Amino acid sequence: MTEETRDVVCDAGPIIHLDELSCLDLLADFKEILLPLSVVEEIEKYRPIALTVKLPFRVLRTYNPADERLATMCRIFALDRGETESLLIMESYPDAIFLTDDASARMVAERMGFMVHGTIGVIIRTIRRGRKSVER
Amino acid sequence: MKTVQTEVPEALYNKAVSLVNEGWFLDEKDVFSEAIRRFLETHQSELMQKFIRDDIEWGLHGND
Repeated sequence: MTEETRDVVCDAGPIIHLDELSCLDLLADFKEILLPLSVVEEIEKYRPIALTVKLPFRVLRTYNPADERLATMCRIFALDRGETESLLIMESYPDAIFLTDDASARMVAERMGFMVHGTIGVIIRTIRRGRKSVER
Repeated sequence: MKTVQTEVPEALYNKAVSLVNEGWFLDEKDVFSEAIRRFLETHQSELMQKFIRDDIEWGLHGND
């Protein structure tokens, strides 16, 4: 079991899905959970209770992309505001892991060379790191 | 649009331009958007399977 961990930039999907599974505490095993404002608004709309869980959330403002390639791909793949702003944050935190359950957002992230995973990966990782048993 | 041009192989871009010139699409962006939409429609389950496999691999054998 390793203690090394990273920041995550989170789209709304994994937070909502983990909370639906009563597993949102699994995110406590990351250093910080970086969220753009648009993702916070999306969670407030669809699963407000998830934001009441005590976790190392940090809400960040986003700026115009440094890489025009990213803006173009977000437009072509018709990513929503939350996904686009999450990827903009990834530009500033390239060592972070981007968590999303959206196939298009994931494709763009992979194309940009970012590390990207989804809810299933977070759950399995937790077992590997010994934070939960297979039974739990 | 210029960024798209730099990312696409010239032969592929020329084909997209031909489609626009023939009046099938409004512009090159339209061609690529349609291509990606169709790709996602036809490969959605393959993509999801790949993403799930990647997640399982990271979950079981990642180093973070």
